[in-house]
Amino acid sequence: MGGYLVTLATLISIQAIAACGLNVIVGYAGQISLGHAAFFGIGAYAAALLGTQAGFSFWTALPLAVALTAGVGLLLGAPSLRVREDFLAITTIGINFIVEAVFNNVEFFGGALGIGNIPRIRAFGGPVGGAGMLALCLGFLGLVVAACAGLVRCWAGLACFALREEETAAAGIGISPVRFKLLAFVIGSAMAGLGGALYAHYMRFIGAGDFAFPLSVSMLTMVVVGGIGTLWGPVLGAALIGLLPEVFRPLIDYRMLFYTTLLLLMIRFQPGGLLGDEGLARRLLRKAIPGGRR
Amino acid sequence: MLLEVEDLTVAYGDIRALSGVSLALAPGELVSVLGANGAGKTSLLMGILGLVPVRGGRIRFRGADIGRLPPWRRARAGMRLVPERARVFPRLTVAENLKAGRWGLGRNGRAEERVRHLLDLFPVLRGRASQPAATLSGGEQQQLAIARALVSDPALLLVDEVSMGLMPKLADEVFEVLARLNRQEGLSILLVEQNAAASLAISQRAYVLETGACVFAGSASRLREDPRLKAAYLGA
Ligand SMILES: Nc1ncnc2c1ncn2[C@@H]1O[C@H](COP(=O)(O)OP(=O)(O)OP(=O)(O)O)[C@@H](O)[C@H]1O
Ligand SMILES: [Mg+2]
Repeated sequence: MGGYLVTLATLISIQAIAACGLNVIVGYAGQISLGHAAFFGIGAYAAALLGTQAGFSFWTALPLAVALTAGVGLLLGAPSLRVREDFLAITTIGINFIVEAVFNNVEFFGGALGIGNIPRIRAFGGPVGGAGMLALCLGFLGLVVAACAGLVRCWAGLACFALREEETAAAGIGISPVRFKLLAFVIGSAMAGLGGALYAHYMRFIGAGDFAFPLSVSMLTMVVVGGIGTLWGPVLGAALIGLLPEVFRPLIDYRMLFYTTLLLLMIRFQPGGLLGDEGLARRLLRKAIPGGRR
Repeated sequence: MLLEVEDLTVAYGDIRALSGVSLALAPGELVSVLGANGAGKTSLLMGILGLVPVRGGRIRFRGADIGRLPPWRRARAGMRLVPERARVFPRLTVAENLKAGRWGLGRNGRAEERVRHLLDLFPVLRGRASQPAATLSGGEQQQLAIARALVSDPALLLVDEVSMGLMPKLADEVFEVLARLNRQEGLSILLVEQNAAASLAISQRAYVLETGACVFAGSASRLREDPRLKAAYLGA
């Protein structure tokens, strides 16, 4: 594989990790979030600062960055998830803009200059190179997908699904809406934080603009295109959204327009996403593997 | 008393749906709440669970004041709702719907036993374990909603118009199951119904609501005999 492809695949797997987190919030718990990039950014900045200021290695910084992102998710989610759904969209957009502004304006976060010289990840006594980094990101993506698969099968996942489908009925049989929406939000934030930490150490230079609102829109597009609430949908979505602008170079300048149009088209024609029950990819899979489920 | 509701008032903004309704239910009782469309029956059940805006009144359950608890905690205290129009979780399978209902029962083996028992009571659900609930017929969904509410072995079942959209024979069967649960297992049931004849036949007592207020409270047999109420609610 050429270096360019490795780079592309690495970035796609990092985005897929964050998209899986967004899928837990939007797909599993049914809570719209348009500010996921903020949590991706918090993970990235935490890892970057721990790596540059505190001199922590990636492996020490990673759990801290993930925990910190989850903690911020808890703090911001607790009040946000109590509002009505349409307000939640606005609230999460607000969170994205505020977090970006803080990164951009507070000296501690490097201000407009961002943070540079983030150390490479080291493993087995040496720095992790291009192919190694791809393997590492794919490994983490595998862990994240496995965690999602586990969540779907466990009680908490079932509670999230029940809330997504019929909140009143769920509360009427003893499921706490706030608790499980918040749990989904925290898990989703933690995954975004993981993706962000990998991103920071991979790019080795980050700025507030990397985590602006358009990234939130493109992450939501990944989830919707791939198949909202499905296990592999966000991964497929991240791959498609990551590849398309590369294939159609001229699109790069119209990214936002492209994502938004794609989002609207998907909602109109393939609301379940490509891997959704009635999705194109799912139907093709069914044809290829008769009798297969999920 | 298992459940004591005093002066319950429910309002949606300026619209008052329930004005000062009081009601009590002893352990092991099956009590009907009758009333025309819009009388406030659903508001009463949802108010007891805290799922609609309660503006006044007290709710005691098993001797404890539950009026300030969030809905899910009230449910965990031992009451379960069978909502109007079933409200099963459509994209979850029948098995998952039932599993979601065992919330509060803990992880012991009793849940499997309960589910088996419930499948005996509602045989249409048998063999449907992996079918999405949305693909069940309306009547089957109603039965799934009852089963889902019963998995956790609650003390009180709050049932909202379970006969809605069921053919008469099936409605009779569902009422028969509720009556049996009440008689044999001592399950207390608060049954909101439009089908007055069928629900009074299995109830010990009844309340009648009219535009948000209680206009009758007494034994089911007395209500069946009362000519005025008979004319209004039994269509005689
Ligand atoms: N969410 C709501 N917002 C505004 N008004 C409401 C709402 N829910 C109910 N109402 C009003 O409250 C009153 C009582 O409604 P409720 O649903 O409790 O009646 P009901 O006895 O259950 O009727 P039905 O037999 O048709 O189910 C009605 O006038 C209704 O229009
Ligand atoms: Mg009603």
